[in-house]
Amino acid sequence: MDLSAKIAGLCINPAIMNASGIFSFTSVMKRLSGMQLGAFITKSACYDGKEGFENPIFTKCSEEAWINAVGLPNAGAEANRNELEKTYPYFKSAGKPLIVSLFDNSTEKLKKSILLLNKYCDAFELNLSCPNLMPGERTGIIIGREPKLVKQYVEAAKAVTKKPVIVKLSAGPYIDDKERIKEIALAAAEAGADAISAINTVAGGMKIDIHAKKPVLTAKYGGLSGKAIKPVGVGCVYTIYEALKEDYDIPIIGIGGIETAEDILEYIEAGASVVAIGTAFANKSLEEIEFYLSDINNRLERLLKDLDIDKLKDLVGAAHV
Amino acid sequence: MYEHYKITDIVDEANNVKTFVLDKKILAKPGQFVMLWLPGVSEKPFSLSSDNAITVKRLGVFTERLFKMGIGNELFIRGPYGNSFLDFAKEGNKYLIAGGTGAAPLSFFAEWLNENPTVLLGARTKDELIFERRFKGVLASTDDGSHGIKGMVTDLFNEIKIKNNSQFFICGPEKMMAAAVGKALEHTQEENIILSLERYMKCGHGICGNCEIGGLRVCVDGPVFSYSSIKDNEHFGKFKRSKTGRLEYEL
Repeated sequence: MDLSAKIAGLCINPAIMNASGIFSFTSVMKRLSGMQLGAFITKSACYDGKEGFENPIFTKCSEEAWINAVGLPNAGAEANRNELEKTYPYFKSAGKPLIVSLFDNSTEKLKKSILLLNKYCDAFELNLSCPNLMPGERTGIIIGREPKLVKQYVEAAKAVTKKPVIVKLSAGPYIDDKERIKEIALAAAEAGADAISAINTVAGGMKIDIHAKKPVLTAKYGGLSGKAIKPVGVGCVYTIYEALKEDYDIPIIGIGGIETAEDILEYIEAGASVVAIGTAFANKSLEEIEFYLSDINNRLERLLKDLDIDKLKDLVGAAHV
Repeated sequence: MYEHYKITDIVDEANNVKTFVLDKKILAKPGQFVMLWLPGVSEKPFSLSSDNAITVKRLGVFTERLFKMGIGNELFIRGPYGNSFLDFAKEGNKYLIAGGTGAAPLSFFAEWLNENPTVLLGARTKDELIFERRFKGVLASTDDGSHGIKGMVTDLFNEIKIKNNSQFFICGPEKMMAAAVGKALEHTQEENIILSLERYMKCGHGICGNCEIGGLRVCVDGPVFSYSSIKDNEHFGKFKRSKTGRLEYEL
């Protein structure tokens, strides 16, 4: 059974990875590198580094809905390089692609980060979709909702690296108007994006503690994650696939509420080539993660067998007829 | 999602150390921790010193605010999280070794034990030594000699005849734990040395990774570890992550 996928020449086997912001650091991912995940992605970082929000940054709202507003804390490009310099060779020899996630408030700083980190990863993902911004911050979704800005950032990145550039998009514009996400995905594709990731957390979630009479998150609002957002993620991937399939051969990384092998297949049939898991990793120790991933891979193989298919890639976009 | 508790008692344990007693029990095992949210301030992890109490040292803005609270005030708590000393405890002789407020989770552990372990308790001064009367069979040390023997908690190893192949449960500042591990290794095997570790924690669910120590997330893979699982850990005793995730060389 072949559960692999190719993204701009990178082999991801199995076609399952962590979502950016989950585990964050390569020191943690190193411990997972022998498990059944095909690639790893770091937490989004910017050139200058950033403090992020005060705790609480993450809270459960119900069994299927969580919200977070971490505020993209990171130690900056140089600290990032110092760590990646030590850990990247490990991923290289394990045959597991390492993707570095970046964001910034100017194309110049984005380029500086890429130049500094270019030697220490296999691909970049541009986070143009984080909904949890500080007042006045011009990054994340502020960029990702404007086709013109998306094009500028992707072109800037492509100008300084030969490594694949993945663009992570938000469901926000899609929820507003399906045509809008098509424009944005096409803008990324025109600018040379090698893959599209969708979706990020869904903006605007709030949990109020009724006894404290206050929103739990320090940022008040947070991005919604967990099983609750899966229908939106599947629909968004389906729409992006539809927009791209005519003129571009650009794979999609499907993200949002994935927990089971069935969830994975749903995203694959919607048009994703690779999927990323986030919130489903909550409360799992290393041993539990290993067991969970092995279980999900086994189940995926059984599902494919039942469908009489031996390559996962043959199912990509199957729901489009 | 938080449970809300009322403070029913506040005990002055030592200089800058208070125990906050809650009106309800928390279904927790010794060594586990809870996340305490002070709305409008922040949220921090605390290990339990009993099934209805946390013992806290005043360190910064958060604990400053907590110290201003009084009996009857409400606390918002989620958890418990993490593993327990009980996951590692086995039949046989035990030593509990505590530095400062490290005595808090170990005193909860002692409540669960049938036999009385030997307790080695260290602090900088007499005013900072806590829980001496909670335990039975205590030997104390202070850096300045104001109580017990003068020296570090590791010096107490020389004061008694240590039984070989015992289990050692250690909690305190990481440098102190590293030194105590060295002493314990003279008498027992790596897997019999059990440590409770601490890092800057954010989500408490194993998601954000900020509390990792050489790839082990303290919140879900710990906070209790056997020394055999961390002896090769490149961060232990050396590095911790700050709020931004920066690896800092200082413990």
